[in-house]
Amino acid sequence: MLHRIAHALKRSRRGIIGMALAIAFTASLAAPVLADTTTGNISGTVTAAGQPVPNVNVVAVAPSGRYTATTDSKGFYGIVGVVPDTYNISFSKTGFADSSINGVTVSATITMTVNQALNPRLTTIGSTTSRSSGVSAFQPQQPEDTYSVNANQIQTILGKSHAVSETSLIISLPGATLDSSGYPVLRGGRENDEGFQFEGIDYTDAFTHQFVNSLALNGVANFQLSPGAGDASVGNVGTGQINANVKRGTRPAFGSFEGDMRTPEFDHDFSGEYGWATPNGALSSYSSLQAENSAFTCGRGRTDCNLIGAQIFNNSQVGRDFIENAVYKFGRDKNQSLQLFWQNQNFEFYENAQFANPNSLLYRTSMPDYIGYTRTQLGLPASFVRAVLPLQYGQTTLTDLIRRPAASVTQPNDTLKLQYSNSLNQSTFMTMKFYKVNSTAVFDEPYAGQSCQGVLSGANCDFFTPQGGQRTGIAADFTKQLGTKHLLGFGAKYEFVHPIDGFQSASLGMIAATFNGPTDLFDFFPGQYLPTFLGLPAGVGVRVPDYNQAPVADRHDAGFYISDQFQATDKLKINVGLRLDRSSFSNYPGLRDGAFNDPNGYSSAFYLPISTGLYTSGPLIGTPNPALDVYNPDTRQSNSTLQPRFGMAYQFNPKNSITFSYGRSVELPPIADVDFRIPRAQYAGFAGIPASQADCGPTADRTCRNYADQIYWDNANIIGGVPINPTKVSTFNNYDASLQHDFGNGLSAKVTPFYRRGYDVVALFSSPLFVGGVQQFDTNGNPLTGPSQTSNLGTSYTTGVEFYMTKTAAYGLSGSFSLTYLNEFSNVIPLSGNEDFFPSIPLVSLAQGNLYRVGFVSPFNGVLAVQYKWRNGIRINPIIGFNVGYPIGTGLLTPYAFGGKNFNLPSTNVTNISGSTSATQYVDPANPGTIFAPNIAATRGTAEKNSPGGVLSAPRVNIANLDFEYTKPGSRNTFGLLMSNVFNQVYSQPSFNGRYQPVATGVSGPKSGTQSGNAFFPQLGYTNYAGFRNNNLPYLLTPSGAPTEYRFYYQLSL
Amino acid sequence: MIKRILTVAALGGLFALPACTSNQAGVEPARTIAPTAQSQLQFQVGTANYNGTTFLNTVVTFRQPNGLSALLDNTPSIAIPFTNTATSVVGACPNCTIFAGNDTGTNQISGTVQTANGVISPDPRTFPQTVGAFAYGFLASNSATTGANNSTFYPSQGGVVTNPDGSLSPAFQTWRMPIYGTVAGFTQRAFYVGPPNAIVGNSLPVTGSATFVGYPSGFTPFAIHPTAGAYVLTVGIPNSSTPVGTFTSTTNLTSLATLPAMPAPTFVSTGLAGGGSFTITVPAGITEAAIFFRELTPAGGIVAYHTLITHATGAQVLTYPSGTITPGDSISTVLIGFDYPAMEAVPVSAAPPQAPVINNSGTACTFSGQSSTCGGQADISLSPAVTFTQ
Repeated sequence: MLHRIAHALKRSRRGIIGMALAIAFTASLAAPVLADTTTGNISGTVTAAGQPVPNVNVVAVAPSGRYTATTDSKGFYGIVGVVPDTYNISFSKTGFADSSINGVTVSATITMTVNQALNPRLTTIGSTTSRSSGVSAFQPQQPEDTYSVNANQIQTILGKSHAVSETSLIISLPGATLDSSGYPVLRGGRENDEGFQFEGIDYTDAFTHQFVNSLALNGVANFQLSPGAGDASVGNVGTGQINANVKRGTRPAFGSFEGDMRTPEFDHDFSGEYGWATPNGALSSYSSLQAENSAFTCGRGRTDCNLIGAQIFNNSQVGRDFIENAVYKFGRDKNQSLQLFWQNQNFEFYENAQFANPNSLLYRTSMPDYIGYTRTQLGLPASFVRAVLPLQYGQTTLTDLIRRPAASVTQPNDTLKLQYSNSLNQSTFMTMKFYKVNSTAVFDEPYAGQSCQGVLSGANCDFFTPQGGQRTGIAADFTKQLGTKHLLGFGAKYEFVHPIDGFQSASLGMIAATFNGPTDLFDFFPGQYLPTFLGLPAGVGVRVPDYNQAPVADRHDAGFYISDQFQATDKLKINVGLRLDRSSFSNYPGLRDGAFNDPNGYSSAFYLPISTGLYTSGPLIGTPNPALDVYNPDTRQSNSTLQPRFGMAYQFNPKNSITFSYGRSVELPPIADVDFRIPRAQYAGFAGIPASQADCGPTADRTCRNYADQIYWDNANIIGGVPINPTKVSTFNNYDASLQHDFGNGLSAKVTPFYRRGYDVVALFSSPLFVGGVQQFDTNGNPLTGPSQTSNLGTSYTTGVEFYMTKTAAYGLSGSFSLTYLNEFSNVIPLSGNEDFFPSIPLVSLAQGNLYRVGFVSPFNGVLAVQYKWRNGIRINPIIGFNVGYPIGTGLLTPYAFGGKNFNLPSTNVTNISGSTSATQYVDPANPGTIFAPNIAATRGTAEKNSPGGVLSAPRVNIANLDFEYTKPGSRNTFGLLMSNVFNQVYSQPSFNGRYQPVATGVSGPKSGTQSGNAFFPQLGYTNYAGFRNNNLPYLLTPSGAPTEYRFYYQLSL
Repeated sequence: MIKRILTVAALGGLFALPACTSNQAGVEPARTIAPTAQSQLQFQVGTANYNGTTFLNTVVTFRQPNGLSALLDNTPSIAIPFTNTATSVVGACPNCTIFAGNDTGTNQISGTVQTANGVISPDPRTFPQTVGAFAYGFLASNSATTGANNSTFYPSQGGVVTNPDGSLSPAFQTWRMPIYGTVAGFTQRAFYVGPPNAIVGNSLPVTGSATFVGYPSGFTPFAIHPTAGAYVLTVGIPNSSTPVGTFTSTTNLTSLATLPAMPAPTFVSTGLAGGGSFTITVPAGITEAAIFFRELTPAGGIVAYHTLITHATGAQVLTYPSGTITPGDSISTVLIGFDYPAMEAVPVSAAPPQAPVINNSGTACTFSGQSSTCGGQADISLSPAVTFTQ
């Protein structure tokens, strides 16, 4: 039994002489055990004079619900399935004075322990009021590492209510940091390693496992961050889970509306929410709308965004987000409920000003660049190249300037949940839910000369793709309080995951035909193989088809868990659980054509042979015999491992507690890591043409059946990768422990060291190229690479410390302070492309077992969000975020293969694995030395360590916001001003300058910062950044950030 | 927040997004700048005897204190004591001769100032943008930011740029070491110091790149007739945002006498063994001679460059070991004589001397700041090219 003496005393209205009463009050949060992540628990023991009191009536009331319970013979009561809210809990029994405790905040997945000591009925009544303005860092009986915030705290962290930035909220909590691309990651994991849940629904997209809600908050009642494995109900997350729940309608009704305007750019926002319930509480509804229109200007006022080649910075954004959360309660004591939750949301990000003159948005295709490329490299006349380059949609000739909508990203999300809940009795609760998450972002990136030469070069050029899909699932959870010591939970979930990815690019089609693959670009030219075969007139070529990729593998996911929260003693709580996750892919009969040994098909697109038999005699001796191929029968399944979860919390005195938890978590490989198939139908027109090469198949050693087969494997091997990759789950072992202290007066702190070991982590690599069973090498003895493959060869080791301090108070000073230290090692090369999303690991680095400190997170971050609220209605809310810098530098060593062996060699413009544009050391062209001992004539002059990312950029304040707000006491009107980026820091994180011309150490030449122009469109192709982006320096500083902004807002509360 | 697009997973390394779009401020990491003023430029001129015709020879070294090339990019300019009469004509084929460009009618042999990538220079000179003064000689190795190659590797082979009208121009390309101007009967313009010889031994350094085929031989002759007088080489980086100063080197051509003509060598092959020997006669007055021979495939492709060096005069036989040349390949051979220690100045090893003697007087240049004065001269004599078969 935990006791805390409350000293507040309040006179009743009847003027009864108050009497100081010792109130035994315990408010503690126990382990997040409840599987249904939308509800919590309340439990406790009622005593009098130290003895348990049976048959005490316990009533918990809040605007969103009312729950009753009766203590048993041991004085214990438990209420499960409590909707998150702030409750008044009253205790009554004949012969005892009624007492109540106000301000008990119940959060989702949390069990509140509320004990009470009763006193004999007196003529005087005293009551103690306690109010909570937030969830404290002190959670003495919570074994798993979890950070919860309520709506008040969200307001403090983001500066105001109706704020939408979920990213800012996440990174203000310990364990969460901002990666170098601006995305929140948990404990150093990758962007798609964390799990997102909203209203108990998996809120990640079906293809890449990213968030589906554009990281926009709407109607959130409480928000929870659980770094690590979490309890047994948490599945398919690698590094942690983010969980949010929506408000519910209440009686009396509540609502608020807000209008915003932001300056100096165009920005109008409107948001409104309204929640109501019928007098009997049977029906409630909560609705919320967020609407935003904004158009940004880049950098500081004097930055010419057009000159820096980045019309992308004149971007605009339109967002609409609507939520409806309706609940109907029925049955005995309204113990059953039906919930309908619906989110209809769309955010559109335009990469050019939406309101600009459309005539100025003329997009030329990327094709003319290829004209210049082929002229330079192949010495071909322009007419040849014009005859074969693919046309973009809307073009009739290659040089047509097509008008297309601004480059944009559209991110819709339509989610529906139907949930049935039943409190069978006060100790038994169950939920069943059906849900569908429909979210497919559409990336429309037409090639524009300026933007493709801008900051986001390469990746944002000439493609169109929807990416995402649908999750349709059912789940059931059951919670049972057994006696006073055991809270059992078990549940199951099934999801049908349907991915959508229709990637299309003409430029990549050209790349495939140009690289060393089965298809030869020359085949398409006038007078060459294809036109000759087809009998085309002189001067007419055959156009290279676009590259298309469209994975089609649906997946069936299932999860099962069982858990027990065991209250061993009044000080010790233990949580144990076991989980199993499983997935399998659909087997479409229609995709069986094209099997390796099917003469009617193109090629083995669906099955990856694990061994290839060879002819042992005859004219084909030593060549592959398709009849002997053996296929991997488990290609479509990803079995999981059992995932034990353990946690314990020991509160050794009222103000101190220690916890420990261990959890194994598995993350199912995203479908994007498994299925890289390219539709074959687009090549059908080439099926009747004989092949001109004989290196088809994923190992490039099979005779191409026809020209369609040839093009297919060219695209697959050069760009797509092995079509289907049998990939295991990624497994993580998570350990953490915490020490928590309550300083009193609402101030508490928690420090949590942690360790995470990741193995079988999914990563791509370029396989060595074998032809006819013989590995291929270049003239320097370096192994040639085959198609990209997904593997489980990734590994990671992460240690760190989380620190969290909270001050909760209704008035005066309140807020939170979080710090996160991360030290993570991985075998992914730091600062390599997609290091924090879908990483690739060069085979030569894998072979040497290289480990690096990751390059996409700052090792130390912190956020301080405080407010001071006066009773006269004034509120001031500063928010400061800082980090010690991000890893930069390409390193002094690089993995390099030579002569069939693997080395870690000095990184120079000759050996740098990413190419000479990524080098910081340059050999003397007249006397280069050797790759083992290069003669370095010049460097960029910047500090470097052996490993890439070994040096940190300068520490900085990355968040500096200040909110002023005024609400006259008793008034419904609130006026506010939110200043963001107070210090006007607009420059980006330093990025490596790939257009740096070395002259001498620390000295760059006149070509630095200039981008190759285009002979076909000279007026568009040339961009000189030198004057605006300091492109003569080793690192680029781009003024891409918004300047100091002022948001004026008005809120009307109902 | 915008979702992260998965372009093509297999090309994750190809499409590298830059860091951070989240308003994080950053500062340029601290840099150290090398004291380029410690570099030394040496310049010599002399006569080049092309089978009885006298042309201008130049030799240059431009090195840091550690002996490596001083700058990876620079624009040279030679002030000459006569009018440059070379015809201003643009070559009509890859790697063919460039004439004087806009130097015609001036007293300059100068380099083309670098323009932005892809922009054809409006003022082409004798040296294109790619040529600068390096550790030994004028080399087509100026670094460039093409987006794919930050350092043109000597002696890399480049392509051409096609103008909108379909014509070709050498606006941005790398060249073999040229002789500027047409010289009938002398078609080879690249002389690289390769194995086997006392300088580089039996193998070239393992560079990891197929484009390094040999060390520079340091001399660049011009198809113009020299006069006696002062010649001044100026090396600088116009338009650089970080000034490194201008280096100058002054030398005088006092004697127009040419070295004796070099007779073409004869050759005896060991056939399938891949070895062979050259019989040469080095005239008196030649202090050093080198046989530069290229292995050519039957299709005319250049396989490798080799050099055999001698300091003796008179008739002699120089031999290369078995296994050097693939049987059936051709050997294109030129014998070149020097009156200065040309081969000893080839920059080999990690720390070659900063200012080797490159003149026939045996005296070192004198240096004052970024200027130097070099006495003596550097004369060469070339035999006609002869092709043999292994």
